[in-house]
Amino acid sequence: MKKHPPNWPGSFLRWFCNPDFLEEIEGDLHEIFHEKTSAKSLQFARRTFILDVLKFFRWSNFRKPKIMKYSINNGLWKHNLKITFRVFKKNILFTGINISGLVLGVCAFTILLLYYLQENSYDELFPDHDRIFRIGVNLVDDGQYTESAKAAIPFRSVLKDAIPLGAEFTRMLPWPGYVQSEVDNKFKETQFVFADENFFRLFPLNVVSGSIDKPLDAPMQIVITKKKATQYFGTKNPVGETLTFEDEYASFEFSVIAVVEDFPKNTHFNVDFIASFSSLTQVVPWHNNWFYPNAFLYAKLNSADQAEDAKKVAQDILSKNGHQRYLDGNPTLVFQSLKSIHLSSDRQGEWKSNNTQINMKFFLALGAFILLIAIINYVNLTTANSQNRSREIGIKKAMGSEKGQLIRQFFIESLVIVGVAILLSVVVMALLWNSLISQLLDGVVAYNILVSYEALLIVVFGAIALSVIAGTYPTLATIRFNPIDVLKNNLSKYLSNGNQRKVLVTVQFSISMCLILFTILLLRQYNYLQNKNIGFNKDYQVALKMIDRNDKQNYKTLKEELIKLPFIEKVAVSNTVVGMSEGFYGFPVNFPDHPDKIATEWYTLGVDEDYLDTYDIKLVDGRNFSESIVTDERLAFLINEAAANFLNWEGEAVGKNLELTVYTGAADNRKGKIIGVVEDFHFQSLYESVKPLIIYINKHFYYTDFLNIKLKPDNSVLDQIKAIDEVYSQFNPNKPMELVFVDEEIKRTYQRELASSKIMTTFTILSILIAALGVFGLATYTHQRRAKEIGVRKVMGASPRHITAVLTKEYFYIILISCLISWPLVYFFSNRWLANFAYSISFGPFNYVLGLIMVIVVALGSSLYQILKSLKVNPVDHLRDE
Amino acid sequence: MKGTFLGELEELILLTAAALNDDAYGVAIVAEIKNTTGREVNIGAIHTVLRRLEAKGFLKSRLGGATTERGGRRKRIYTPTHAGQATLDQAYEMRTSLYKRIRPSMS
Repeated sequence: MKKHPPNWPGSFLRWFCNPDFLEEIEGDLHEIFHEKTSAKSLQFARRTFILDVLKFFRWSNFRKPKIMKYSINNGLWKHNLKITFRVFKKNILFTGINISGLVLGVCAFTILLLYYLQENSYDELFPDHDRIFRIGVNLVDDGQYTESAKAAIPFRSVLKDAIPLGAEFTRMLPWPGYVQSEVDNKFKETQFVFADENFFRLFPLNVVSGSIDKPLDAPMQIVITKKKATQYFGTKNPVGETLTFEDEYASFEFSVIAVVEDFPKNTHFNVDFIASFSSLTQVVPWHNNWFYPNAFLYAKLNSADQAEDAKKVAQDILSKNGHQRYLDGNPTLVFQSLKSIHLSSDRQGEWKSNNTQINMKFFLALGAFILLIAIINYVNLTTANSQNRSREIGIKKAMGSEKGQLIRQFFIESLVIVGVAILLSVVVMALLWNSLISQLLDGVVAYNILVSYEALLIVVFGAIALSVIAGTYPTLATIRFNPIDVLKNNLSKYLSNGNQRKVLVTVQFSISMCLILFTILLLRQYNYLQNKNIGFNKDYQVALKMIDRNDKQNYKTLKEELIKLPFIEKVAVSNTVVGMSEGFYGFPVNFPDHPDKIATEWYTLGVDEDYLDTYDIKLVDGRNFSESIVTDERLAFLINEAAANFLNWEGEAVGKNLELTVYTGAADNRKGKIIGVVEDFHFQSLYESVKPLIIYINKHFYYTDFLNIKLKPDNSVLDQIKAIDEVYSQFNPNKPMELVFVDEEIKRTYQRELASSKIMTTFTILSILIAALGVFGLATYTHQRRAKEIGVRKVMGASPRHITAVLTKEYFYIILISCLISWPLVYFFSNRWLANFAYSISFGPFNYVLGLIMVIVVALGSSLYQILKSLKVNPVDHLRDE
Repeated sequence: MKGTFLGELEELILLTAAALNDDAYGVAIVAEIKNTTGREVNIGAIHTVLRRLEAKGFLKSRLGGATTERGGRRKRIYTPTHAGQATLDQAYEMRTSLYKRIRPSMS
């Protein structure tokens, strides 16, 4: 029998082992094998052979990639790097400008990209997000067309029994109230919901303690988030403990069955308390009706493409089983996929004010443009510098360098610059993160996107891609020199006239001009919205919320107490606060004197006699409500100018009949007269034009939601609030005071504009800074290149003014062309954007001129230093030829 | 490149390779170490150390004869260089001089 070692270890050895060592190793192994077979058994020898092969499986025996094997190549890499650093050191200014420009550009782009990713990541953590849909309803509700995010509560049970698609439905009813644990701490909680038993099957969360595996079906059970568990129970385990929940009407005890992780910020809703829906039979016994309250309704389908079918089936079921009065409002169902909600939905009763897709795309484009400006800087400065490198290239070529080697050298240079820039930007972002970026972007950017494994890959590939993008053109521009020309110093035919540089600078200036103009536009529109005369007095106005039924019923007592305070001028009750977008109910309205039947949306506002004085709303016709006229309380109405115009009753509205039906439990049908017309005031945001409004007197506790308080202008607002709080806590010792500042409330409406203008301003300044850096670098280069020319001009007697003109002439052409490019774009987009607002500024030519001036200032400002240097220098220094 | 410091195993192998007089290759060194010291040294380690000693300039190598047991593959035979020899001498002298201080009579 032939004794031979097993085959496979040998093949394995040949695969990994460096061929240089293979022969002696294999020889030794065979020799050992041979010796073992004669000394011991064949099996033993084979086993030893396998083990021995494994003993050779070590780094020093591995095949090495070519690059490490040939030391000559190692040398070239070293050489390239050395040259790179020498070049950087020699041109420390250009390198500095290049790197800092790229750092700014990369930072801006990354931040905006992160923001974009973050905003697009909403609801992705729910595993079935692609087949979960929110069902909203479009319908005419109380005479007013509404696109609601919510659906009627009984709808789910109807659907659940009938829909043949095997879908799961869950409802979520937000019900703010006061929560108290056994320890004496009580807080108002707005993120309190009642949810169906299968809520966690659609929206699973990680459990901290307890269990959510069983359906949440028993009444008075509650699941809370970790954050709230700590707030109410400290370190104690809350499972099994009791929480007291108190709404306007009564208080209830819930037992905690589980604690779950907090909802992350990137979900379209955030809840802290999830109580079982069955508890509602005790908490809100009348909840199961088609009108109020409405709940969010979610459907989990078997697949995403069933949405259309499901919608049809559901619509059908609704029209068969819905309440008749509800169906009169012509309800149409809307299925919104979970992911689409955050970036497209803007319906009545949304959890959060959502973003828009167009906004996000705009910001992403902004980031890309800023990066582009930075890349152009790099390209311009590097090509400008290429002539200084011509001799190096010429000699290398003459010594036999191949094109590939030269290309590699220049790519290494751009890779090093880009790599340093990216590393620095990571550092910069990490430093700025908490203080700046998270505030700028509304605190929502998830930090963990930055530290993930993917982010590292993106950084590496981004660096390579960026250096290829930025490095290609300069590399090709630099290596085309013919060595003979270079060595004979015959460079003139390679000296570019800088046309391509001018084109790139024009692109930069066009982008900067666009950004500057858009920023001016945003800021001016935002200011306009803030400062426009809105027809009522919003300063020194607060509104005190009537929290529970006792407050609402006895508001008069509180009003009398408050008016005694020396700093309060006026107090009036109302059902909503101007500037809030809801509460102007569209009750049925009828005009017996009007020839046509009026079908439009009417807005109503229920107030008392002091309301107009409290807000300084002016009457244009007729009289105000009066306490001395008893019939006013039910039968007098005020309308606004918009309503009078709408009815074609300008100047003659007073005295006309008006019928209004106010729902206060039962329908309160008021047949009265119009007693006055008030000047238009903006009770809604300036996105809308002023709508026809009817003001009536309301003293029924259904609608006595706020006490509006006019304060005397005083610096000690804090003391005033403290005094109001004292009065309130005597009146209602159980609840903390809730106070709304009217001007703050109005400001909140324009939050999106504020956020956008903040982001715009910051990043526009960044882009201008980068462009200015580039102009500065180019000016430095021009100064070097044209030093002799300027010297000659000076010797021939050119005046400083003339020289300045010569040096700045080309910028004027560049700026002129960028105006031609950017102005039409800005004109087009600004008009489209302003069309979103019912009231907007006119973006006239003055603004364009302002933008132009700013660009000129930036261009001249950043080349000023070099121009002054050119003017000051003694021509002899440059003309003397040694 | 690499320092000229010798580790314990390196010194042992260098010494053995020198002692084997022109027949120093992997398997022979393993056997010799086993014989003289009773130590079982890993054959993979021996090869690595031999190459390291060569890189440090203490050993030089050539390819020697092939045998049937080796499946027709040649041996790599290591011999000490002058530097290797000098290092061994130095180490020997250092040890002896130290040892003499313990037992002066031994000289």
